[in-house]
Amino acid sequence: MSVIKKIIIKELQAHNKGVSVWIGLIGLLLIQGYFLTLNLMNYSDPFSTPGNWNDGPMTVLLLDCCFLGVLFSPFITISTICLERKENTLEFLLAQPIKTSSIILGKLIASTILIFAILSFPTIGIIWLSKFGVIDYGHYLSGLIGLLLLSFALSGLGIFISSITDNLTAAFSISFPVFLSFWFIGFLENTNTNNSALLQGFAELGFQKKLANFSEGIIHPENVFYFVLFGLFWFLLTKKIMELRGWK
Amino acid sequence: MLLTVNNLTKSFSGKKILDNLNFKIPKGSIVGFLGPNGAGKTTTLRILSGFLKQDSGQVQFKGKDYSEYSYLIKNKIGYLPERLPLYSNMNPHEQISLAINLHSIKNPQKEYERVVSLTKIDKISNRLNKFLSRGFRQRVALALSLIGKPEIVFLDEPTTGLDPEQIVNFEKTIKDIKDKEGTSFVMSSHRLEIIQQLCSRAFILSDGKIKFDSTIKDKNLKKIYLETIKEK
Repeated sequence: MSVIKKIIIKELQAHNKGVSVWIGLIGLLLIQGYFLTLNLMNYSDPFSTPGNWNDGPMTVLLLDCCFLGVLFSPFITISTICLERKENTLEFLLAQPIKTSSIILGKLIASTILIFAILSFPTIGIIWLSKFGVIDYGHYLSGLIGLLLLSFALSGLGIFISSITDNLTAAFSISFPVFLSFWFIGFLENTNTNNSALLQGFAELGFQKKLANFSEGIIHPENVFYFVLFGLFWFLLTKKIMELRGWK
Repeated sequence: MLLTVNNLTKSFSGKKILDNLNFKIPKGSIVGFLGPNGAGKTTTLRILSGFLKQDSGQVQFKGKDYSEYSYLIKNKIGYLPERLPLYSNMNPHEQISLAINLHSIKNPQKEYERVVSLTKIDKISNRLNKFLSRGFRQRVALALSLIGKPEIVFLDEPTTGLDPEQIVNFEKTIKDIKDKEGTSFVMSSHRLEIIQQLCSRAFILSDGKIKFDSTIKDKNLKKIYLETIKEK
């Protein structure tokens, strides 16, 4: 465990030294602030009487954060293995007497922490809303759990994509549409075609519907399992890829 | 015998890179692999250092097979690749400390002082790696490969990019480490004079096969190496 902890600290320090995380954080805060303002303006006369913010602004804000996570995560995940391979520092890590799975797990956890921290930070706006109405903190916590699980799932998939190419641009070009497709694939549920059973099956893989539940304050165990298994599946596949590419 | 290699074979995309290599590395020696580009030197060192898996054949460290103990054997070996594995946004102190931590060494400060003193990098330990000269970067990478007191260190083309003065300093450092700690070294190079300066034994590799295996004093070494280069 201590080795994984050392890898996590190393990864977080590396991101802290880079500018991408800070630029991303500022960008997300601005976008989220804009969405929150729009959201409040759509809510009829929000400040005149103490309102219930839970069903309107909070649900939308949490789901917005999830979608922004899908857009933003590739900037974090592409560098995890791809950049190390490009700069040959992966050889440094692999030369240490530690297991490859410990390296990948450390990177996965660090990436999850970072994405979750960045995505959840703008939601502090919800605490500000409590000044003007009633806030259900259980609902807020459910949304945060959804964000954490999404961060884990995206990190797993992103690290896998990062391991299959040595080119950062290629890693980004693959990550971005793949992440988005896992968001939009859920909408296939509404299509009426002859292959509807197949499409329904694909739609079940989508993030959007599951995250909407978390954002509404509903935690279904099957949704939790889905995201955990999703992240673990890509973790195991990354380990296999690294072995196949000759990085023992 | 520290390292024993039997019938080592490796192919990439159907092309045989190593063809049935057999050799032994005794303890406390400096052994050199000579050969033109594409001879299989780097592939050999990558297999010996545990980065690549051979298609067939055996690599034994003190009689133990690599495939069964590769994770444990990493504690006993060091590897300095040709492309130096340095984090550009770290300084030598940070990266060496990280490597010492990952080795779970009981007295990290003592280990840090040991490798820094062996490689003489104390004056530059707080400068970012990306601002160091090639010579110092090479020393930092060497310091990383010495962490945990490995019994054998593999050096892949260690003098690439060094000027003559830096090469002399590097050779002196390697000899000092061998004398002080009894570490064995296996290095690859395409430059005969460097192998002659440092090593006690040399192998000439060509098209994945060992063409020559003898002591450095063997009079045929130069002749066979020049012939090998001409053939290429």
